[in-house]
Amino acid sequence: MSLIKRTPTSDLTRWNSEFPAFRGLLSLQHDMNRIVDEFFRGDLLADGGFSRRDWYPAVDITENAERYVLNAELPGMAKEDVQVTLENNVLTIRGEKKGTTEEKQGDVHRIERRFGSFERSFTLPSTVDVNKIDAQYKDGVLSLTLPKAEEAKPRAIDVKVR
Amino acid sequence: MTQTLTPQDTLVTVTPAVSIIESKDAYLVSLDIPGAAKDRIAVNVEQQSLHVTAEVPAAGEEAGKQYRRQFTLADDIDPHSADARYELGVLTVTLRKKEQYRPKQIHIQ
Repeated sequence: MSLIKRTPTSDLTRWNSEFPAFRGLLSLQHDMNRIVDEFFRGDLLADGGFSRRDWYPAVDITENAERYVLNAELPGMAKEDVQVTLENNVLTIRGEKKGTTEEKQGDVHRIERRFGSFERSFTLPSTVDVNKIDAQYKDGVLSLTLPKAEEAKPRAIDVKVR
Repeated sequence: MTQTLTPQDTLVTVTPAVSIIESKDAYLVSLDIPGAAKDRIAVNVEQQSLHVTAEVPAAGEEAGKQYRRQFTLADDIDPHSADARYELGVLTVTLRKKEQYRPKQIHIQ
């Protein structure tokens, strides 16, 4: 893609150039990744309480024997603009991403980055020890560690052979 | 696929979302690259192009990511002027316009 001036009317819409035919074949894989990313980030991912706002941050959830880890990508947001709450076993991340002054005042050539408020909720499995949830925020990534309760962790049970 | 797995293959390739804003004397190219360490981000400006790559290594059960995107520079950009900052997971590259393209007040004698 190039830094070429466009007429203002077409600037705020998502460009057709997201489709591979407009670009080189080498970028095909990038485009596909992006399209797939956005597809799964959108309406079709109904993971429990999923509520609609302006946009949805990408979230990765992984699990091991000890804990679940939820990483939400919130680039450009300050820690103060992000809120994490837990209510009725539903974990909710909400926040608002504000643009900088330059971003608001300049001529827009392209905006793929998302701005505005968002909200995403997740129903926690009963195995999570809700009193030990830990949240960290660094370099635009919110990382929540959800430890499993002791009784939910896999363990070996000694069986005495008589 | 029959390719052999190398460490490189465990990285997921991601095209970072971008915003491009033009002010009177510069272009601001901002890319969402959450979770990257500053020293894993490379910004290269050549005569006619800007390349950005960044690596977020795998952590825990999560796969690593490689962010990659490239742009062709417009004629009014001074490639030597590029300046990059990384803050809150956003990489912002400032590309100033060449002298002759910046607005100028001309005094009337």
